[in-house]
Amino acid sequence: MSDVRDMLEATVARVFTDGVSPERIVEAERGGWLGALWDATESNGLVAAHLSEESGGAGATWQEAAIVARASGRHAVPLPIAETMLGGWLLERAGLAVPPGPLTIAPLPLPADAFGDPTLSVRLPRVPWGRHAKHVVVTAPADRGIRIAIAPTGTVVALGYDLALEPRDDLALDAAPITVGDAGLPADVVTLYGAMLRSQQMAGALEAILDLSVQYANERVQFGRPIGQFQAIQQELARLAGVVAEAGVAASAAARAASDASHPVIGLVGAPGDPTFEIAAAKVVVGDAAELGPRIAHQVHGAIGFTYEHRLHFFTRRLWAWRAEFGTAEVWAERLGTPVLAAGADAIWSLVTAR
Amino acid sequence: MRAFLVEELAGFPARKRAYTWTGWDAAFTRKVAARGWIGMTWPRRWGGHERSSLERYVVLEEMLAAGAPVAAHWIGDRQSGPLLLRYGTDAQRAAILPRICRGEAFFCIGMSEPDSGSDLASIRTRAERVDDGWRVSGTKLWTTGAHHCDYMITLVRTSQETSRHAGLSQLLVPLATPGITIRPIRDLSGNEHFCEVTFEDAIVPADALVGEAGNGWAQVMAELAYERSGPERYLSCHPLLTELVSACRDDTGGRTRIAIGRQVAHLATLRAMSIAVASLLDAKENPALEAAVVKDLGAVFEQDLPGIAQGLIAREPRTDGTADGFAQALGELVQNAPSFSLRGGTREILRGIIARGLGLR
Repeated sequence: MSDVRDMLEATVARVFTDGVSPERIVEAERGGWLGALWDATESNGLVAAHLSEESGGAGATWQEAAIVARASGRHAVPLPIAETMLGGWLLERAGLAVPPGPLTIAPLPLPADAFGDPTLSVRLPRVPWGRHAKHVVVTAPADRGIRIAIAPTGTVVALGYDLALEPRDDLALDAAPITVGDAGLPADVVTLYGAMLRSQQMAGALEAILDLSVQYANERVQFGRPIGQFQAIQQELARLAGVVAEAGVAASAAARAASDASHPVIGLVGAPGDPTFEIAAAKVVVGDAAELGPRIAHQVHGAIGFTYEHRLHFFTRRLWAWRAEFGTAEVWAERLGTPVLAAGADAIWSLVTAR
Repeated sequence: MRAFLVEELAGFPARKRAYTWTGWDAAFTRKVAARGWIGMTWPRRWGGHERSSLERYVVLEEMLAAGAPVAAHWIGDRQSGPLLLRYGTDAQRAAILPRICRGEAFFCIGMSEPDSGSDLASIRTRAERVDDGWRVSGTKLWTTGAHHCDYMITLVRTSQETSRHAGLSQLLVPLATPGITIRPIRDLSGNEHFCEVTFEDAIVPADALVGEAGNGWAQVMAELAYERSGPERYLSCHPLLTELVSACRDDTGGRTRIAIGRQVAHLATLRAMSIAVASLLDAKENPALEAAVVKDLGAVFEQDLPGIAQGLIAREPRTDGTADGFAQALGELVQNAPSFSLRGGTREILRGIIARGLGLR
């Protein structure tokens, strides 16, 4: 499968390097839709790589598809890439057709009886990229597993934004026609796999702020030499490199665990073949890195990095926004710590070494 | 392994478990050796067991997690043996390696000196060629376990060159050699782990040279990758984490669950990073940079734990045997934690290595 990986690496490098620039990101922040970039992303198969060939994908694993999510963070791509990947995967798991175009997901599940009628009327708060997505994927708990529905996105009743000025809109579905399927997935699957994908994006954004900081430290001259020659700066950047490396490893472990998940995923830390441990650990480690990382990057950049003109903030604002989405580090730490405390001291070691 | 450790360590106090890989017990080491758990990856020809490095990793981490007293064989198994495998002569290998595997030859590392800590290339211990071998004079300092050991792989200056990194060599020195004096140094917690070792015209045989004369710097740098990336770089405080979870068992508050969960998340990630470095070492790469990253992150992780534990459980840290396990582990590790970012390369040196790897000039 390494040729899939090579293909994805090469494609994301080409599509995102060519298609994303500070000017394009600013255009998106002002409400623009980067249609050409979306078309290039979709037509190159990036948002569907992890789907089966019947659904128009390449049959890639989550581990391979994580390359796309991580690159989208590394380039601060202002498009619903992770959302479309997650929505498509949910639809496929429920045996539903995956439509072309940008997808989004409702962050929270609806009540258990939500899909009793052929149409759905509901208000969905803070939907990522709601105004630009063609369809929204909605979940509701069922007796065994969950029910998954797809609907046209309906009306935007309130435009909203996250800290990075990515859309987080309130949508109103008014008797929207839905198609419904069942999947053996936990009720909070959107939070779980959303955390997995945001972890990839955050790991990518962290790589970007490390690169920018090293580059700046080698270029910026004070006291007659590049500031990167000062040990004080070197020590800080080495610390940044450490947490960025740790975040990358944690995110990769989460993607690999999602690839290896044996079904049904029940969302329980410690359940055999369940990716919840690794996903939780990733959101904790990446969330912690998103606290320290931007601090160091901004400190090294000085005042210029605090301006809108400099591009550092495209990454740091995303990190601050994403670390709160699909569960903060503390939310996921509690989910890890609860079963450990319940099972006792020996459980820590068994849990960690069962990986 | 877990059954062996439970049996062997029954009644072993938390205070001693907290020593982990600085706890010395030659009798325990011989039992470990009898199980085939020393020199696991080495060729059978030299007394090894030709197991995979992953199997060895599992053995190491199980020992550390249980707080087993592994110091007697730790350094020989981790770096002195591998160094001889890579650079030694067949005669050295035949003489030494089977004894390490049997738990009969113990090693220490002769690098730091009174005036050469982080600035290792400035060492002044000298070895001169003489008729009957090498004449060694100088002082090594902070040498862990020297007072119990049989051998020291000693970094010495064998010639003066224009480059500081040239003219260094490594000697396999039997510590019973006349002219060598070993003085244990009490650390701040009252324990005697490290030593001062003085060489006063000590004569070691000509065949004590390890590898090439003048190649010592490169050999030492390769050795440090073994020293810096292993599970001991994030498991030194594990016995305290275990005690903490036991002590918190009835505390279901959110703050406790979050703190424990956060430790588990970082622990699992550091383990994955450390195992990745082990695979690079296995593939004969020299992951010096990656090892520095693991050690630096591991030290921060380990050093955070005593403070986190104290923040969750308001109990006095103690080291007397009448205290409960949590208090004992906390008492030892609060005091030992400062050494975690000193031994095996200071935080500042490691971050300097990382900065160079980043391309800062």
